[in-house]
Amino acid sequence: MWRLLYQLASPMAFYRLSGRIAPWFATSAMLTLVVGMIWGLVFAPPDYQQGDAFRIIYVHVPCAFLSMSLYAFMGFLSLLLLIWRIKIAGVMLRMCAELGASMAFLALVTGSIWGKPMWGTWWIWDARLTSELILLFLYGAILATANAYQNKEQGDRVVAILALVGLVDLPIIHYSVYWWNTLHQGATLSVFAKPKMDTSMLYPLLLTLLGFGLYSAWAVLLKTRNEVLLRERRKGWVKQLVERGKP
Amino acid sequence: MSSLFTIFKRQLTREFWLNLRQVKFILNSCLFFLMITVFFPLTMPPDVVLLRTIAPGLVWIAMLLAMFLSSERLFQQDHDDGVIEQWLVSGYPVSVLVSAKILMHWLVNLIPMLILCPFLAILFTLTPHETALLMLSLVLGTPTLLYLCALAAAFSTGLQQKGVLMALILMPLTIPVMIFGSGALIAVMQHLPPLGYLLLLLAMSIAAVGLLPFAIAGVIRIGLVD
Repeated sequence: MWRLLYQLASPMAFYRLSGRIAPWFATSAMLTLVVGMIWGLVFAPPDYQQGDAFRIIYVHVPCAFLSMSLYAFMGFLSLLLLIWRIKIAGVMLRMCAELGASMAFLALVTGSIWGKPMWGTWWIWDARLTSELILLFLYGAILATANAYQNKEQGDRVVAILALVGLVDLPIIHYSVYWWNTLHQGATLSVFAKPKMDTSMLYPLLLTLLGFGLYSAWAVLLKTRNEVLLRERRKGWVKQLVERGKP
Repeated sequence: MSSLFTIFKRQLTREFWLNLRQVKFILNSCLFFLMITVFFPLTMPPDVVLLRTIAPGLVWIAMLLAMFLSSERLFQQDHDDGVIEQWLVSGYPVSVLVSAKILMHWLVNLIPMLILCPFLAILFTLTPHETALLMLSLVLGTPTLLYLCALAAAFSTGLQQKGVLMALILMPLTIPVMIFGSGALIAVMQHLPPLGYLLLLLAMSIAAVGLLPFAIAGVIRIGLVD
């Protein structure tokens, strides 16, 4: 099994393998997203307090969850890059940063839209929102630093260090609802406790969470494949791919 | 090979004399600090309550900006002179050298600001107790700020548009220090105990001083070797 992982570190092997599994991610993402979204937006019962406006949860929660899990994944990729010097991890790091930044932005925007009718305000400086805003700025800093270096491999390694330094923000966001009195609600879903949400609303949420996750995996794979082709464009296998259509 | 402690002491001495011989840089950051803190009362309505309300945040923001300004040149001179290359090939851990450099930079920059604090107290009508607490919170919180500024400087040394990149990196990382730093003074102004804030500032500083030199050394090694 370890041999497979080491082989994955080669750009060509990664390109081949991701080419085979990306369609699976795409179809499963499409299925779960379509089913989850239609179930959540149309068939789930309206909330007794919020009415139909609660349905934005099916976009807001997956975006927020993904912005944090993509950052955690970036932390893992940073370790792979810095300790084991796996260059693919560096490429994937950049692409995760791009996707994670858009997820964090969407989480803040959809949360803002949800907050206006429910809390009466577009924004409030409470712990959860502030720390998610910090995460968005962190993503921005990572993207800006990555693009500031002409030598892309050097940029990857520098960005890996920055990502690791910013990793400390993740527990702060997650636990901010416990540590501070905050307007944002606490955790409804957890691994060990019974969910505080009714199953008729819970199942579409889990489906959209899974759907967004699969979509992110697919998007990151596709972007990484593209970047790998760009960086390895002088290698023989890329030339072969361009000429003959198969790697 | 000399011991690590000898290297640390030697670097501290070097940085001390370098800073002292180029006093104009320290004066620059002090003037910048003063400019921000003096211009706010000048440009706002002369309401004592208003000024006391904005004083905590304002002093910390001015401190952050002054440190940001002074750390832009933190590694620049050594990079241009080739000293950093010598660090990298010397065989000594770069984290120790970097830590000594930033520590001396902190001491040399902070002490003038602390001397200016009573002057600020007069401007913003702070009591002596509050001033003392402001100075203590600055002493506890500025190591984190300066080490983060040094990290940002390490990222941008050798690049062209460094100011923008530094500010962008610094923005998310310094938010916790700023919140707790100004929170300590706000708490004292409301006659609440500031101990929690001060301890958190101290904890963040210890974490920054202990762990960030390794990150900074890593960035220097990767970023400044073309």
